[in-house]
Amino acid sequence: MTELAVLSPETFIDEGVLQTATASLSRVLAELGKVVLGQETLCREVVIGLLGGGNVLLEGQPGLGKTLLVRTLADAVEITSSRIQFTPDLMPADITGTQVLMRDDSGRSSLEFRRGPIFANLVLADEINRATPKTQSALLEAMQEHAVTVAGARHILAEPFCVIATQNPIETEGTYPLPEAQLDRFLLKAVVGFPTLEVLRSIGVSTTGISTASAERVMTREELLAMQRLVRQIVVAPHVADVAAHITMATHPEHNMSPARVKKFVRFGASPRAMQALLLAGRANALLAGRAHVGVEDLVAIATPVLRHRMILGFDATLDGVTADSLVADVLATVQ
Amino acid sequence: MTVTLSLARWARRSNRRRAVEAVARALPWIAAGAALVVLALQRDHLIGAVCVGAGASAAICALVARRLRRVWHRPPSMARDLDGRHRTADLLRTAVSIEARPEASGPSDVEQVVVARARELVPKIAEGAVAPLRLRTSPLGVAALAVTALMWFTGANQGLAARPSDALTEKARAKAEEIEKAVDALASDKSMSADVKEQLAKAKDALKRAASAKTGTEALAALSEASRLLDEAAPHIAASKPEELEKLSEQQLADQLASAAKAGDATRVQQLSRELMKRASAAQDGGAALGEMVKNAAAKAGDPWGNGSGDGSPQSQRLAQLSNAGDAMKNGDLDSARSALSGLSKGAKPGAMDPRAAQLAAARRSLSDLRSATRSAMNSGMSPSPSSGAGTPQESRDAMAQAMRDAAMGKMPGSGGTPKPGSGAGKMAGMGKMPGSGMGKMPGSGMGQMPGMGQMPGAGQMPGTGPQADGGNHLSVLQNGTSDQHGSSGTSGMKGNSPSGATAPETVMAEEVKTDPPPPTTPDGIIRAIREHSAGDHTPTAFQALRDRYAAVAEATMHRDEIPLTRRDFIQRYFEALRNQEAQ
Repeated sequence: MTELAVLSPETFIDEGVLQTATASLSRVLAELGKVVLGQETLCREVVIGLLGGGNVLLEGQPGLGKTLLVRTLADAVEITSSRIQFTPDLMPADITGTQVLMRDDSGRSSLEFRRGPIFANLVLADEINRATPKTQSALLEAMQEHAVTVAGARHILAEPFCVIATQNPIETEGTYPLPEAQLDRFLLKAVVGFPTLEVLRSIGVSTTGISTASAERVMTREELLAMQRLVRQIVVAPHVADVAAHITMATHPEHNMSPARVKKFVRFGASPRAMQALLLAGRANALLAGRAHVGVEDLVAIATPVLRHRMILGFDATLDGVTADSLVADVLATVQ
Repeated sequence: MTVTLSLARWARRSNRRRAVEAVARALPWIAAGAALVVLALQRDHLIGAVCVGAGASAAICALVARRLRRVWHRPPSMARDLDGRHRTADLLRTAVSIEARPEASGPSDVEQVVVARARELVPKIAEGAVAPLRLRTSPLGVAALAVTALMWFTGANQGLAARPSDALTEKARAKAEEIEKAVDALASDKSMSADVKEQLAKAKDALKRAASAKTGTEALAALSEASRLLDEAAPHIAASKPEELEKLSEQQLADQLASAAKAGDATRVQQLSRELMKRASAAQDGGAALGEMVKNAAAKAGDPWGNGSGDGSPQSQRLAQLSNAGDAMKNGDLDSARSALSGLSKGAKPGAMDPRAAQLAAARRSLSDLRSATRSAMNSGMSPSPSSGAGTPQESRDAMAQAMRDAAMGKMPGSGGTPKPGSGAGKMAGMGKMPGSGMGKMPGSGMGQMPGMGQMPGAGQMPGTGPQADGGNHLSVLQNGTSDQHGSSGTSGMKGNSPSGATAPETVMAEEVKTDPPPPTTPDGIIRAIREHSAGDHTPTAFQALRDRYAAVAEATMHRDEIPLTRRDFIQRYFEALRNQEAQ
């Protein structure tokens, strides 16, 4: 057990603790990189989401290793994981759990809550947009409050809790796009890119043999919780907070500091939750980089995954092929 | 030592260096602005200099402030600069913000780590924390300075020359000193009367003042005074008036006679001979002493060194003839003496002047040129060129006026050898009060029948036949008479009425006639007269009378010193131009 395992809120954080945390996170990233080839950025963003205690939405074509990433992360960090395949007939109870009639040895019957797959530290909501909105909304409480309410009983989810949802951007038939309110609850939206030719070759070779690469457990659940507490202690200077606020405001078309393209193509800008996400992800990014403070460059680094799903684009953007990423780049250009 | 203190120290050092750089960059602008201010001051544009100075100062201050604002550092901005340069991801800036917080909220554990890391970083980056001093000048400023320098070297001298209040240029000053020497030489002549010597001394002083004047106006005033004094002295030196001749001592009379004979000045010889014979006739010794003096004076003039040399030249012959006249007087033979003197007058070259008069005339001419040049420079901003010819219209007018004055003194061009009586006589309306230029019918060659041409003084129509012109409605008509110093000068209408108070030369005589009709007095009449004249109506009587009256009014105003000195000649030239136009 490392030093971080005993890191309590009262523990004095010094240079050594920070270095240990950074080294530990680097090992996690290294383990992920061993299995998920060619997706360093994706792995980093998922770890940031995990460190920030948030949820991550992965968008990419099938077969790019989204499920593998979640499973590998659960292997590298000593946390429980579950996988929910979202389908149109998936019911909320299938996620949260339900009360079943149980008969004890004396023959008496009682309703007993049987936990659903949501009761895990790391939940993979595969193809989340295939479920009906009713089912999707079953995740809302869990994602935001880390708790579910079933039959009037509130059940607290175990910490750490992280939902990693995936969705397929190319199949739109029979899908239910996530509502903006639910999208806003994802700390990050990571785009799973297609690997390069070399990476693709490596994937093919390494995954079709007898022995496949697997991740070693390099972090305990307690260490992860300590990391999550440490992330929230990373220093944010006033000028960095100013930049975060400015970035958030600049996504609003009605704001006078927003770029011209934002004014033209964006219908609604990012919410205050976006700024919270920006700073939280920035803290995690700084810790990953071994810093005890957040720099503007941390905000810039994670602004795109934080903001891309929080900006609601207008019809003109669809017609002109304008993506949210390009608009975020415009916003970032105003602060650099 | 905290991070903030280190950053503050670096910020101060950086600010000092950047300030020096900004000032160095602005130096060409400062120099250009200063040069412009000096240029404006040299042109006596005080308000312009103040405006340029204020504007340049404001602009330079704004530029320097703008530049300094971009590079001026305080600890946070210094931290930002260093973070950017060393890619420390806002470490220093965060540390400064932590240290800037109030003591009550002490730093957390992680914040202490941040500050510790920043402190650890500070010594590592101390060496290059402050950018070195780089003194560069603004290319635009250098260009502005070059343009200003170009303006300075090409325009400043002209500007200096154009300054109305500037003193004479070196060339003009040298000319004034030259005239002063000539006047001094004249004043050293023992034959001069005390009054004339005093006037010449005053003129010399005035010329000295002109040469050392601090301003152009002062110089011009001194030159004008010198000119007036020389004008007043001129007739006394020529001694053309009987009363002046009477004032001469016998020795002075003999000396001047010898001098005139030597110079071949027939007119002068005639005047002096007449005075000599008058005194000889009245003398108790029958003019013996006077004859001795004449003889000695002739001998002295012909042989100043007493070596007895005689070259047989006409000059020696004239002096010998004078010596004979002296002998005759000494022997009591006044008739022979008169005959000899008469022969001397006949044999003398007509029109030649007394050397002193010629010297004075030359000095007056030079002084007039100098005044014109100085005045032109003051009025038009051109460099005065006292020795240059009449290049500008103004100078042409000055030269014409001087020529007219010379003509009035019997020096009209072409009058030397072949006089042509009455030829080229124009019709100049008499101004009555203009110096030397107020004439009736101006003779084209300056004379009718000159002395020595067979008509002796008193022959023909004698002077004094007309009343003095008073600037009123009179027209002067040149008499076809002979100049005679015994006559009244009056008819030229110039006697004693020049602006400088000098008496006009008396070699031109005219009679005065009343203009008919008199000048219009009603506004309608005045306008009609001017309109008719402007329309080319060559019946200028009404206009001439009107012009004469206006000229008289202007002269009277100038005499009352109501017109600035620098504008008087301008007004005089205006009326001269009117007259010249009509003469053409």
